[in-house]
Amino acid sequence: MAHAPNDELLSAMLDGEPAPGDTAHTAECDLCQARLGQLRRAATAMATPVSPPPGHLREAAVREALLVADDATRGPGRVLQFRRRSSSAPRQRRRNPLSAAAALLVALLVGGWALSMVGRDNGNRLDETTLASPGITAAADATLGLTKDSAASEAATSTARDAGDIGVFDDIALVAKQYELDSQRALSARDATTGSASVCPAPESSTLVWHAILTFRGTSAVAHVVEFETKKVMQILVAENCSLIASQDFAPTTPR
Amino acid sequence: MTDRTAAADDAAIAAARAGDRRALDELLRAHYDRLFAVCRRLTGNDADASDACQEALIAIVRALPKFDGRSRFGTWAYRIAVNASLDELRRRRRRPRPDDGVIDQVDVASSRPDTASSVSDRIVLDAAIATLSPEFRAAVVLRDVAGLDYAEIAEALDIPPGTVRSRIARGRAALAEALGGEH
Repeated sequence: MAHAPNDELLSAMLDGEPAPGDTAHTAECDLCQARLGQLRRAATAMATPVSPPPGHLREAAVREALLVADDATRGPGRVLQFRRRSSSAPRQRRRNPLSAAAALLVALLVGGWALSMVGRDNGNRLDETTLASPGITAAADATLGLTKDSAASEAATSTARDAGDIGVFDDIALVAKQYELDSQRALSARDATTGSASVCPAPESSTLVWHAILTFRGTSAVAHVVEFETKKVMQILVAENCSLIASQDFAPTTPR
Repeated sequence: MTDRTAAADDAAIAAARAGDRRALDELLRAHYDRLFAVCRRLTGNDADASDACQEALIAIVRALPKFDGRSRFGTWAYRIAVNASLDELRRRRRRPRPDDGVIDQVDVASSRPDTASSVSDRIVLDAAIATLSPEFRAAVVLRDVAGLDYAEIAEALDIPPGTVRSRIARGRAALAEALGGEH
């Protein structure tokens, strides 16, 4: 009698797992045997060995992870910062002691400039390399005297920081800069306890850590910073229906 | 992870928690290739797999003090790698890239004579895997690439064993259909 083979039964048999059904029938049924062969070929294809990654990728990944471990063991006195996600190229850390002083100066200049820019609907774009520069962020953190302890307690705060109405923007980079500055100010003032529910829910598998209302490209919107297991992401959503307008990725990182 | 014992992992974890940097280095290196293979099959290309695997290692280091040993370290690490890969896939959906649709650039001319067919097979396989939903893909990858049993996959994905069985069966069925007569 013709019948539809039971894929769950056949697939579980392939794996030597408890199978929900008549395994004796399967051994005698041509239709089931043919289907078993298809599923086996699919499993074999999936199990095709992946080419080993180039050695330099492994080295870079392990090195970066060890640096994170090093930072964690140093304890208080370190700063926690966020950088924009890099390209897929291996992330390299470079240390240049001379750049720290220059970065501090630039941070003061850029920070002042950015503060004067946010809240104005002028359409200018912040240079992305400025936002991406961890040296500048680290210097700015140092300037504000932020410690890793305070940053860590921010990350542990279960409610999102409500930044209120933060102004009018055309560019998500400026909103991101405002988030960065806002976080620093809040931490500096030790007022990380403010929290309230956002009008838009955080995406699945993420935690809302900061939100604000703003006008973005002429639309009443909500800015979110949400944390996934390995990343922080900024999103701009339409306030009326929470549809996504723009997003920008951040990666938790540590000072170099 | 198949040729490394749980005892070796446990020893390395204990030493790493005590501040032994060399033990942590050894632990991460020992697991990197298998984690990369899982990330590669889940993300569909080397670049995203590399990013996901790096994020997974960082997440492992950060969470290691909280690892309670109830599951094998390998299973726990796979769970983190799966989550990092799924995060990578979510980001990719929001961030179209100019090379989307191109699986990987391969220098066929400088490769071995048998590379052309293997490259072709790989492209066909990547395209077929890309048709699976992330939920089905994760279950099938943990079974056929990582070699976990259903109970371990249930633990890694935090779903009931019956759901694991169903997802693997449906994922393989979809993969068989996508592969057609190619394999």
